[in-house]
Amino acid sequence: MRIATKLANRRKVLKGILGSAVVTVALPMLDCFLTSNGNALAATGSEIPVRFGTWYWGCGLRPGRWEPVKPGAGYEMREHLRSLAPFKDRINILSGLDVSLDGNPARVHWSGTRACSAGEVLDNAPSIDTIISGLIGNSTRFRSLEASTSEAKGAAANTVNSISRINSALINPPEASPTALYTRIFGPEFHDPNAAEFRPNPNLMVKKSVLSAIKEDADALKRQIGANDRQRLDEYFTSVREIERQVDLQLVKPAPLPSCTMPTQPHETPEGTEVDTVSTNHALLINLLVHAFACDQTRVLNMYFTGGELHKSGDPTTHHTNTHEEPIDERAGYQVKVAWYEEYIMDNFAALLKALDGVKEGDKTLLDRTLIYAFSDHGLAQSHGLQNIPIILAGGAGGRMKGGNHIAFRGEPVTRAGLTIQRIMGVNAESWGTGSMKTSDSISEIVA
Amino acid sequence: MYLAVAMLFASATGRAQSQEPFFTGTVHTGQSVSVTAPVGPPALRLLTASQYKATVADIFGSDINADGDLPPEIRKDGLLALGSAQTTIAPTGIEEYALLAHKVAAQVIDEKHRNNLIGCAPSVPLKITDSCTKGFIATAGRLLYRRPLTSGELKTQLELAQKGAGILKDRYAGIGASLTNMLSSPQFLYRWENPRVIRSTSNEGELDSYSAAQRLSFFLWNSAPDAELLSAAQSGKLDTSSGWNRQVDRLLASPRLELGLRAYFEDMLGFDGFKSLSKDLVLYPKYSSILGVDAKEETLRTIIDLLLRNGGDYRDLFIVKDTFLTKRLGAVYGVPTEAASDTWAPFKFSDRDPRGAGILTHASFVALHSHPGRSSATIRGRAIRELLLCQKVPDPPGNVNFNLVQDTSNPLYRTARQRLQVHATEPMCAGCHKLTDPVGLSLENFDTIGAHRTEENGAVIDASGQLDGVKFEGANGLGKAMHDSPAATACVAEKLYEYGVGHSVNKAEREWLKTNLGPSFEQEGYRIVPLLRLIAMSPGFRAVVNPVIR
Amino acid sequence: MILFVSAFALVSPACANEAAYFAITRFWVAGVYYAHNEDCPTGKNLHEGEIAKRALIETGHDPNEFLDRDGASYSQEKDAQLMQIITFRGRIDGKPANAYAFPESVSDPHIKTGSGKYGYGFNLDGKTKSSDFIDPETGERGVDNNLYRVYACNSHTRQLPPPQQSVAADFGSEAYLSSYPPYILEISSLDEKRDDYDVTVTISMSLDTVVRDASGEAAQEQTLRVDPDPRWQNVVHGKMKNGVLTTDVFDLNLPGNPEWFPEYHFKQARLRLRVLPEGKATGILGGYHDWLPFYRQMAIRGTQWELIGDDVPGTYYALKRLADGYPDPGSGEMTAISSAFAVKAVRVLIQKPKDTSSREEAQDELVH
Repeated sequence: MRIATKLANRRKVLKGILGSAVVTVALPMLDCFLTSNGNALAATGSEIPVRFGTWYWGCGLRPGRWEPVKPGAGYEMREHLRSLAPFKDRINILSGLDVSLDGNPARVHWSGTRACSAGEVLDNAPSIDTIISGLIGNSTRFRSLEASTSEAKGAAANTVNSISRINSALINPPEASPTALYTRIFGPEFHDPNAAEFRPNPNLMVKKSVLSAIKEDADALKRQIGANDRQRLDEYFTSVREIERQVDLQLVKPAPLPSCTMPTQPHETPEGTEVDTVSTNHALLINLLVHAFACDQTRVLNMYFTGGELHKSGDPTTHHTNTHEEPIDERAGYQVKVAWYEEYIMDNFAALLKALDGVKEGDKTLLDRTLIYAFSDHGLAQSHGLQNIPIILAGGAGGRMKGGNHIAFRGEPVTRAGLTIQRIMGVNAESWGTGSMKTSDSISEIVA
Repeated sequence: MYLAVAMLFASATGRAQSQEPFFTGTVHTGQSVSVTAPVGPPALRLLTASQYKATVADIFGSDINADGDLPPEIRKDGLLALGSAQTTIAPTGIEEYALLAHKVAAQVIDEKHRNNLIGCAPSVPLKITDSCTKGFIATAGRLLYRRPLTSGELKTQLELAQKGAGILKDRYAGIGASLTNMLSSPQFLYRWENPRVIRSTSNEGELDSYSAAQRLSFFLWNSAPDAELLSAAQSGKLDTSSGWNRQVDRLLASPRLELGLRAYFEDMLGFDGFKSLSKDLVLYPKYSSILGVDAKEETLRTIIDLLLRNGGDYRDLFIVKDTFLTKRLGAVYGVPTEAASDTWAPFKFSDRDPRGAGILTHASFVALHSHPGRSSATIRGRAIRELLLCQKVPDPPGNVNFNLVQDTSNPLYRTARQRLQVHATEPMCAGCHKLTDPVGLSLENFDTIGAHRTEENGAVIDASGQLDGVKFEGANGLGKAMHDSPAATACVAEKLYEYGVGHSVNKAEREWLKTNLGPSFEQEGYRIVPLLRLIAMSPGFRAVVNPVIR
Repeated sequence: MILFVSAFALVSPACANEAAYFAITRFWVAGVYYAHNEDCPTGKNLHEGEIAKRALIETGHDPNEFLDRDGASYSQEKDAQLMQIITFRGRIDGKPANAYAFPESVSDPHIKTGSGKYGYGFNLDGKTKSSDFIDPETGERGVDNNLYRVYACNSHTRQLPPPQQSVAADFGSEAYLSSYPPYILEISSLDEKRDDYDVTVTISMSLDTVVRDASGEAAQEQTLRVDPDPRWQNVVHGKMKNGVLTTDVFDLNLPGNPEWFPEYHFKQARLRLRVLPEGKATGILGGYHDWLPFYRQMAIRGTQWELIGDDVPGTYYALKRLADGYPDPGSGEMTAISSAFAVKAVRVLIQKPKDTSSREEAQDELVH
């Protein structure tokens, strides 16, 4: 369910601006710059918006190596997660959360992903980011932005490297090329909010007419088709309206944002699943996404870091294959190569936190105003285990989430995390999840 | 077939259109439909990227650049063509389509193209209502929508063009706005399969002329119907069996059949997987994405050469020694290529050469179905079962006891056969793995990029294999077993039929394939053109059930 | 032994006793790396900018006026002026002369040349002088490679730690490999199982540029055409022993880079090449070569070399001074200099031309 945007005021304001007039006076604060919760933008000195992001990696973390020994606020960071140590007090580590199949077939490297992202193991329910962007994404040019480090299919049953789904057929596909993502966000259609002048682009007015004309034949078209197709066509028109909303926003002068700077345009980089290639591309992509947050081009990001096909140059075996085939090292007591990959993955997660923390917004940083939901598909990937899925929540969520906690669950569904997140982000959710994963209990320890 | 000035006048004298061309309410004539075979409901099918490009090239010329990032396609039951009935367009997709539409329209109206494609003299600057402009939009629309525009649609386009011309003060910009809209609209992006009811009592119907023309054209040419096919639809000729057959034969005889056949095999063999294929470049420096492109092309050329140019037997694809190579492929295969410069040249593997299993030992098969750093007998075996024999292999179960795989006394298995040993002996694993591993292990002499090898990690490779009880040695044995397997020919007939009609076969169609199409295919010597003809002329090709009754 | 070999030939894999072909992907003057610059005891030659400075002083100009080349006040005209001054610093009868065309119009700056104990190559003159090198690979004494001495103390022709060669060699090889066809080396038979046997070696020219693999090297087993031009067919007898090929003495003629060094004509050349199992080969080619073409390749681009620190007339003098072979019958001055080139090659497949003897016909044939 999308919240309708209020366009009436804007139409009146826009009349007469078309074509050539240069607008130098900021437009009055229109409804569209407010979320339905009423948080206005920084320009007027009011509350800066809260952002949300997901960060997904495949093949879990080996149980026993990542969970802090003690629960509670004074937890000790394990050696395995040492790259997160600088953020110890601003992250919450949730251990022991489980996925329940309720008799559904286990789809390896996907059921767990769906459970964490959508509260069910099937493919029908919308993912958490679409629920949240439905609420907070109305006033930004992009409702959400999806990226992944590679298009290579991992071990999972999903066909597209993205957890962001509106329903089983409507997937928000990721961008894997940093140069393409740059062009999409900061290319010709980008308006620098801090630019002194604003000239509504007449080509955009034409684009607006082009898009709105698409719907004129809608009724006649819908009469000819069956129910199934009618739904697909509805989804098509909904998507068109979404782009119309984008165009409308681009026709209005954006409010200035002091923390907004243009990122450097990235060079063309090779794509692939080799670890250095992946971390290079990841760094470029998150840099763009963080800038997109700072410039309020979106308030929701989704980064699909890896599906499990990572490999080291010269090693014939991928991370995923190693999880199944590498024998337990007798002295260490765990799979050594897999452990290397897990720490590499955490290094890259830390890079995201660092990037967010590097943007100052007022007296805080972007990390303080964001909630990042990091999760995986399995606990023990070796046996496709669905217990003890590693989940880490990071950031301050604009003061609404308390950090520095380790909560050790027992026999609780992963949906506890997703429900808490939604409530923190302002979604009015009485419960979340299906079957035995349905829950209405937030994790009170982390709610401010 | 470019849009030429002459066509504007031709269309102006065409048949007058009714208000609602999709549903005429008339009953078709001529061809009898096997009404005991309930088939798929009509569907909206999203144009694939290659169909989009081909259609734009056909209408506006091949020098119009229609390259763009388009939404990912869905594979259903092994074919992207089936998934096209399910794809929906997310907002990112609309963004991408809108950008691409604008890019194409901008080229059509630019100074280089406008005279040839539009050809209207700039008379009164902002008037869109002059007959030349109107005629262009109507003609372009007819070709883009694959049917004449309704009067409502035409009105929408003209109003939009007027508005666009007014904002940008340029008549051509107005035309561009209309083209952008049409190229982004569902009437263009989706193939509409509009039904025509035959028997309302039993809910049976068939595709109307325009829909049937589209299905035929996308099946055989992977592109929108050309002007002649559209006219045949418009005039009603397509509704007669002689008229239909004439068009089928015309399309089959055209050189454009090659494009349609290429599109089919790209889909059937899963070649879209090459886009995201990654190989370890330290271990396999000869691999590159360019090699991937060459590998695909090698196989497609081999297929076209054998099946189309030489009218050969489909089964020979698994034993043919003739192929086409570039220098890069020669470097991987370790054979001298005649094409010492970067071009294609035919090559024939000698009888001594271990590469005697046709497309199965092409890099396109063995490299696509492998891991980044090593080969995979299981993935290759599964690909043979699912892509070439139409036999489904179940997904791996959720909780596998992997402790069995760790034999601590021998932690380093040197060959794949040794590594997969547990798959064969452990009952929980063997059920599925016995379908895939014995088949795929026969290809172990070909590494993850398609180069030949006799050893792995110092141990000699044992490439004995088995397919449904038939034992053999190495890839050449596999090729022969595939050649002799009735499932292989039945599979391509089934998949080609499904590809053509756009849905998975149901029970009655399966029966028809077995008793009718299969024996005919055999009688025709397993040649592809007769198979295409049989399918295009089959009763199921135009049949439809549950048509929407107004 | 021979019976043993034939028996083997029947059962061993197809490649024994067949000719093996290599594409030579690197061919550059070879030097030994000295970690503490022991081969240039008095230091290296001038850095960039210093030659220009000296030229300005010698010709009575103020160096400060010209040398802030990155400064805001520096213009293109000024740069052109600088180039003129440097180029025409030679003096013939008091008048300015082009220093590159007439290097003797400039006084010998006595650039530093290499004097290390070790150097790659062969004992070309049969004599062992105290100033000769010892080859670190073979231990051979009396090794003659004066060409490298000329380059040894210049910063970018100086040998770098392996696997690099020198700045010029690495850069130049890359540029060459991407634009020009490689040389083809044929060994008439290559058998891992045999130890000591005779072969015929043919070095010729290819007609095709190579396809590169992901590591930047030429992709192995690619097919290349051989240029039938009889000028570049060099045949010599050799011996394969323990995986190392050594040839007899021969004259080697090959095309070079049309722009810089059009043709190589080695006299009394010999090759040693180690064939490695993974389809590669490395070695040294030594011989005498006229020294003047080595000067010409610098003179063509005169100021560009000098601005990066290579004294062009200075190199002329050094080459002339270190030239050690083929005295001119009239003047007695040495016309050739001893040299050794590092060779790197990869296994390839070749396409020999059909009965065409001209390069044009061979090329036409391939444009089907």
